[in-house]
Amino acid sequence: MHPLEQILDDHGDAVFSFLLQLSRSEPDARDLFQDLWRRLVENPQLLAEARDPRAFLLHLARNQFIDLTRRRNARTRAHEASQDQPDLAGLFEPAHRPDEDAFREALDRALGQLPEDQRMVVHLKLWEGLTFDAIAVLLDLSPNTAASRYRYGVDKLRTLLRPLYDEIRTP
Amino acid sequence: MNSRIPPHLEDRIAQTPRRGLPADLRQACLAMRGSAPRPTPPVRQHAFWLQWFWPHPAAWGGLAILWCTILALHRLAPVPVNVLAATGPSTPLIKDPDSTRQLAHQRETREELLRQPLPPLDFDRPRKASPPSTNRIA
Repeated sequence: MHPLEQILDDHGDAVFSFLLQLSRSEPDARDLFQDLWRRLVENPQLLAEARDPRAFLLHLARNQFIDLTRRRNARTRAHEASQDQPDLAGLFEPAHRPDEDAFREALDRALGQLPEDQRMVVHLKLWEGLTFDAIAVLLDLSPNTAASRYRYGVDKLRTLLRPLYDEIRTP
Repeated sequence: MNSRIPPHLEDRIAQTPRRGLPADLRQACLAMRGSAPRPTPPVRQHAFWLQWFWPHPAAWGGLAILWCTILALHRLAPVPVNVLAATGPSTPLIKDPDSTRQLAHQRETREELLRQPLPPLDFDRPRKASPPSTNRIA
């Protein structure tokens, strides 16, 4: 198997999911992923120098996203941020069970209400299982900042999901 | 405020399966890998002389052609006589046998004359005082 194909199999899902979490738009996530992949194809030694390929790719993905948001019109971003009920980003696989699908939909919307910096940290902590030290390196933060953003983010998710979660848990 | 929420909500969230890379996007990426341009070899640093020549290649090319023409004409031109004379005795200029013999005779004569001591010249002898002329007109 070609080394790049191996990288796609090992890390493609994680990177795409991270981009989807950040952009909350599948077309944007696709474009960003393709741009990132093109960079890797044209410059394969980028990954050869990385100690942790997954962390390196997530770092690249985050930079790609920041570049995209800078290119975007500030007015558009303000409009998106002002939405009370953000659109579904399609972050999760459908469960084909009403309760579970409702929870996933609510989680998707709740994540959309988090500020971008908290959402990044929550994603990297919960789905990538990174330590706060690793998150701090990846996002150029101090570990304390990463930890506090995580706490704020998870508290907000708890608040937003509590009614539904209580309902699901009640037999 | 959140005391009623069980702490394992975080685990519950983390276990929610994320969407992976769409199959069509994966195929597009693999195709991109196949059609990617080969990495171009690093551009070699041009040699000093090439950098010097490069700004006016036509002028330098013309000059090179001119010099080549001059050299070719120089090689094709007949050799002048004085150049042949300077080539030394190993290349005799006169090939006629009679003339050669005559020249050899002259050379021998000259060497023979050079070996003989020269007689003292007349102006080295003391001059005799001549009596005064009687024919002088008083």
